[in-house]
Amino acid sequence: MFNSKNAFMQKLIILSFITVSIFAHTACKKALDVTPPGEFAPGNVLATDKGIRSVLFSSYAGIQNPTPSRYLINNSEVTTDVGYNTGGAENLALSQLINFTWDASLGTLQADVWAPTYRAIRDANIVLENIDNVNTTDANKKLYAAEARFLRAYAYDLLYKWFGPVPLRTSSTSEAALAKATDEQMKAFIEAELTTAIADLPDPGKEEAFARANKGMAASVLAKFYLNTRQWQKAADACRQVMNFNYYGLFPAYQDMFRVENEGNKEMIMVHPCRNQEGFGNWYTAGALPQNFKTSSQIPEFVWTTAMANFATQYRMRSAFTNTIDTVNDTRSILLLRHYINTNNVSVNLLSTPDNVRSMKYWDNATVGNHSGNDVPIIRYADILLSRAEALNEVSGPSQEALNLINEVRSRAGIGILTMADATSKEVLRDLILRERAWEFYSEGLRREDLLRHNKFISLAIARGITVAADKHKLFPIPQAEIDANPACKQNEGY
Amino acid sequence: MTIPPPSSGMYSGIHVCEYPLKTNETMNNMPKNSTRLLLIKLLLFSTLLANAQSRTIRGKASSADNGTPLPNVTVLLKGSNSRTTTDANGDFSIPVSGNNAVLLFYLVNYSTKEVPVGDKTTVDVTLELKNENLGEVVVVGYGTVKKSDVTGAVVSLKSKDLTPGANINVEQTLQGRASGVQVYQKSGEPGSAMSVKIRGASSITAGNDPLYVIDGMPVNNLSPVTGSGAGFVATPNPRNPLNSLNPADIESIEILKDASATAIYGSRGSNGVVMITTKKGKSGKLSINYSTYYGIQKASNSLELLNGQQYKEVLNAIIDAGGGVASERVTNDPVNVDWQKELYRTANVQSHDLSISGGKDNTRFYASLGYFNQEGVLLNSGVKRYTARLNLENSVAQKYAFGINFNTSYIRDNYNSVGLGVNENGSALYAAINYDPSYPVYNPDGSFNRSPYMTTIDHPLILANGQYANSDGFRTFGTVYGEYFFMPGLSVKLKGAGDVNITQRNTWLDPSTILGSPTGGIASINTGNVNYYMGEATVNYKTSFGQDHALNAVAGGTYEHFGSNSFGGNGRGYALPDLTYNAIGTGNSTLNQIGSGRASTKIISFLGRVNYTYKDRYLLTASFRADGSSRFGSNNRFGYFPSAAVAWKMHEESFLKGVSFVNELKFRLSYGVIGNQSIANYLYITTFSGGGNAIFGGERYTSLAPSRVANPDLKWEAAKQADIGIDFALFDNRLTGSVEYYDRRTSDLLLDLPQPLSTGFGVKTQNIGRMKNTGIDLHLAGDVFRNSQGFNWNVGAVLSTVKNEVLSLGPLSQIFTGGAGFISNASIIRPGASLGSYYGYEVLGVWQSHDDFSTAPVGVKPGDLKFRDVDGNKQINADDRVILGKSLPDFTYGITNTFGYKRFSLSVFLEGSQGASVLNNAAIDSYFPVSFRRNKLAKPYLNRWTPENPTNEYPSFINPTSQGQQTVNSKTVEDASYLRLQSVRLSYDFKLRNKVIRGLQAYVTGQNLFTITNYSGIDPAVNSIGDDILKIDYSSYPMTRSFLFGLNVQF
Repeated sequence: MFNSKNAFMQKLIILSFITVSIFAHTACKKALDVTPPGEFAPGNVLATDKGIRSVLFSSYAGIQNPTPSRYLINNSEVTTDVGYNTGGAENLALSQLINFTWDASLGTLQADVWAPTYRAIRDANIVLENIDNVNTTDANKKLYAAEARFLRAYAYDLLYKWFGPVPLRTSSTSEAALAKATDEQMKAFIEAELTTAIADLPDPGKEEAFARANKGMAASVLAKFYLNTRQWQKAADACRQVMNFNYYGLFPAYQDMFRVENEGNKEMIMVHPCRNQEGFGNWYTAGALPQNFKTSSQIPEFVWTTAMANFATQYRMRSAFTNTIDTVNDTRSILLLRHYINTNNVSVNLLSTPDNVRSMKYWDNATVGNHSGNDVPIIRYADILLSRAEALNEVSGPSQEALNLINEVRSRAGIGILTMADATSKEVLRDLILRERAWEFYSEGLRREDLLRHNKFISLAIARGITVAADKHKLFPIPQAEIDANPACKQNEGY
Repeated sequence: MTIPPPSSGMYSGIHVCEYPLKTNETMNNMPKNSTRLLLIKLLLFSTLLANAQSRTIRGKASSADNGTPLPNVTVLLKGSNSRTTTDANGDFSIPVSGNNAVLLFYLVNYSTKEVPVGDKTTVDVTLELKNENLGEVVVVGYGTVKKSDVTGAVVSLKSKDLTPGANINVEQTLQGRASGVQVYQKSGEPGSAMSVKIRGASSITAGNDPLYVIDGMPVNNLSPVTGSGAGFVATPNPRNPLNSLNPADIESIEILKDASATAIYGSRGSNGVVMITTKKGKSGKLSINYSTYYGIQKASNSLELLNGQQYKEVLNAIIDAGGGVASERVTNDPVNVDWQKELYRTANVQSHDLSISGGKDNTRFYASLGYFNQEGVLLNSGVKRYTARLNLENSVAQKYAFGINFNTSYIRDNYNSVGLGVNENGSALYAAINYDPSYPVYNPDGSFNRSPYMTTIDHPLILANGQYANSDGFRTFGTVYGEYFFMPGLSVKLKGAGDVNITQRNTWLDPSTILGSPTGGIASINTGNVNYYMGEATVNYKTSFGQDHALNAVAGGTYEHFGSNSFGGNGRGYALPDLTYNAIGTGNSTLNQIGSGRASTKIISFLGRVNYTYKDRYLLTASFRADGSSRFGSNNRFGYFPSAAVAWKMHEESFLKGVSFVNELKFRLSYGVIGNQSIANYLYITTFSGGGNAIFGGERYTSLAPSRVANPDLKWEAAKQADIGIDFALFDNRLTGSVEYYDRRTSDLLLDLPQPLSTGFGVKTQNIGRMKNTGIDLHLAGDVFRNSQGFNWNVGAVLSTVKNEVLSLGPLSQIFTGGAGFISNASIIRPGASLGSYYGYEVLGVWQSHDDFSTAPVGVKPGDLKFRDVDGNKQINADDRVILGKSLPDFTYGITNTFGYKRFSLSVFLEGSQGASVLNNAAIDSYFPVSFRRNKLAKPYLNRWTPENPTNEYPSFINPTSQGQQTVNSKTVEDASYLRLQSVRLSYDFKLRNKVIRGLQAYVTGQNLFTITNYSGIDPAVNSIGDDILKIDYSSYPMTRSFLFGLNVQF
């Protein structure tokens, strides 16, 4: 068909094409290497001061939990004699907690506790693994390592309170499938790590900015850890250590302690820091506001505006709790909303419906939509005082020293002091302290651990008519997603 | 399916494509050329013989089709140099000797015929027109083939076959037109993308959109701007980047369905390929076309909600019966506000297209301008588009060819707040559905009146006017190519293509809205560009050897680069909100936020294909592509995608030659491996990205966190697809069609495999799992009446079935996914079930007073919903969930009836879908209300259970969440089967004796005229979550009914 010249040419072309292709194929393996232009190379992050510091801050972000802090509060209170909830989408999850019908699929366990806490652990591990090779001063290396160690220990302490022993990851390269540690391993790890961290952390007030770790924060976490694990003497001593910093003190007016303008006051040892911005807001008040709330003579400074959200869900307080507080003298009751004026200027009495008092602890006139700026306390100085009192009572029964500690808190609230005549026995004082803690710490997410420590978590639930409440409920189930993806991790007993 | 013959109605080529500049022209001419060569050889051979004449044979050649005489038929005495041609009457005479003589009759476009003469003196022959029109070719990857020689499953649609009407994008025109292609409109929002799936869904996470190729350029269909402005209710139905292409510029669309057709696109082929070819100029007189239409659109449906009076009666009655709270009693004297109507309007749509085409000597051109303006039926929504195109070609046949295709567009989108937000984040439509209908819209002073009971939902009209966004999109793309022919059968073609898509989206939340007021207004500007360039070199070679063998081959390589950049910023706190986003910097600067992103991908490919034909009956196609993608780890950089297909034109066999009613019968078989790589970039690289902000001393501090668990072993999803099909044309081509069966098995599915959360990571993208899609594509077209007394009636029908089955999820037993509003995990993916399976509770009825309550869950009362207690533990909990239906239909279909009478033409197009379900989220909000005072669907509440009305259909709604929130259940997952009269078009061709205007056609079209369905929501096809697979109807932008009047004028 074609003459020989053409045939030759055609062969030549095909041949050269194949040759070029082979060259191209070899060359393009390299050509396909890409560097993500919008992401950071590990070398720059893990070897520089600013890089490793940024990873450390990611670990902080994991435990700070500004917006989900309302779940940490509610999950720890609607399961107790203090909190209650109705309505709205959040009631989907909260009703399971109220009724003790939760299971491993309950989303808040995973989304608000397990996942962010383990992210903080992941980032702390990265810092600790790489800190020796970072190009920075020895002082910074020591500081960052101590902060990472503290954050990781606090994270495990939080997980331990909610879930009991969990997989103890201390390296970013550990096997994905990791079994739970034993109870002893968990406790030993938390204690040892906090103790190590305390040594290298700055004194209270000497940290770079409020909410960065310091000795007081770590010592307080350790004190609460000892208390919740019933290591009474150690707890009493650790509380003493916090008091000995002579840095912390009670804020004079209870009802103003949680205001945005008083943030970082010397009672706030550790907080979930919040801002009135998307992603950083404290949403508690949006849920606590009763329908059509406008203002109340209890808190006349707070006036609802259309700039503020008012959720369909209703965060409520149980009558069994609110009926016990002295609404005449106890300034802590000011923030327990019992009546209000609604947007139609009609007065509404919340007491006419059971379990309907609202906690206004986090009211903020600068609230933007859902977002209030109030920090949520994790550990307050009042907690250290009451914890030491409780520990001393457990060690050696009622003492004036214990009462003094309690009375410091009661005096600030404006109610009468306790005397040895009130504290007739260890048991009596124990109950007085537990009651005091309810009044002092409502809407701060401490009630569940307090009841667990006092062995009342299950018995009080049964007393509320929750017949299904059982010992297994003392721990939450490991989130189902972890169980599904981590075959080495066994579910908590009973779930 | 291949292309039926020209007379087959629905798929008929109204326009014979010209591809004179492509190598394919020579290929198209190949049979002719080879026959010529044959003739020459015969002539040469015959000169060696010298035979004496003994007699003269006379005869007539005529058309087998209609008996008309055929002039210019070459008549050749086989084995001699003796030849003649027929005259104008088809008559010939030729001398022969002996009784063994054989005459050959040859005419272009007709089948060659051999007739033994014997002792006859008269030989009359009829010649059959070849089924395949030589001019008609089908565009496939990196070339074209004669349509009779297609071996794969390819649908070819010409511009006239596409659905007429107000179509902003290409997909809309495909609905119900092509078998095996499932197209549905997810929303009536102007310009929103449609769902297009070719033979179902082949992937779980790596995308199910087909690859679009416009004039040989693979289209990078990423949106330059994703997400929405700060605080703005998202618009989940994304805009379709293909909106930039004016449908009026489309000459043809080919849909490649099977592996043999798509494997040439390798790692992007597994979801099928849509090849779009734009119009070309023709040599000759300058042709000017102007087409226009104008129409009106209305919302085709709205939800039936309680009116003010009913609202008062029903809510108060429920409170009386023990539900709700006394303080929520409706005490005002109700008005009846239909909030949906307050947001709807009658909207205009208009379109103008002007094109000029022509050519002289070696140069041809097509140029067009287009303008399209569609208002949305929802206030403040709509789209405007301006397009321009230039296609230019210059060629000297079989020497060289050059050309460019150039398209540029500007699109202005206006978005209302449409989306899935709830409560104060709800869209205007969400608010309209939920808002108190008993309070008037306006205060006496004319301002908007907010109901005091709706503090968590904003006034629908305040939302419609105070939350909006718009975008300006500029997209320019085009190709340039040059081809040089070394020889008639051998050419090298170089092609370059580029595509730049730049978009800016502005968003505004006015301080008058609930969301905008706290911050004094929120303005956002998001900009981005998506860019693409490509270089391609191919060698095309074609030859034939001997009489029976023809070969056509292409080989080449391509380099492609995909880039994207984005930048976004938002501001808050505007003292004066007048200037909105136009003065974004005038807010409170401490609240400003900015962000940016940048990414790129490369693909380097080598490809080749061989088409071999034996005796013009047996066809073999084999193709191969090697793709190297920067999306995959260094351990798996290159993927290899082979395919093969055979076809047998049975009608060319002698045993079918005599069967007069068979015009075409072709049997096809194909198999191949194709891939999918539509996943995020960089998944194999360990890096750090921005983490959450930490707060110290009340200030925010940025952080860095590991981006992902890197997987260096990542590779493409592989699909193995087998296809078997038959094409036929029967009874003088009156009945044509094709039937195909396919089986596609996807393995190495790209899945985000959950990691133990205790690692600090959520997922790791891995190649895990397998999935199967099988189905039948059926296409039929028939001429019921063919020009009998000026009357024509043609029926065309397509039917596509898809059965999807997940075969394996690797180590996972199931994956929960999907949701909207307050609902999550509405769907389950698990082996044995179809993708898009709804998972929830089966409602058996309503508990009645006389029921045996000993088996009932604790606390259940008469009037509560009775759920199936699957495990019989007297508790309705997560363990009682079952699969309730699936979002993928069993089959979809389209039927077009075209009636022609003289100059009138009437086209009636029905389309439907059977067997799919949809989650009705509006029903969920009524069955499980988040707040008592929100409005409800009328039917369940007006017919609710009461002691006096012990219905088994609807509960009492007294304590709707008494058993928990079984939101996804057999009442809220509804059958979404439907049959729709999608369009009716009546047109008239004017007969003009006018030198200026050469043609004039006028038409009226009605779209979406009625729908037959049992679905209780606004439309069975809507999908508010923008997902390819799962369908949820929630605050959906309404579908529209439209009436258009149009004119086409040719000058």
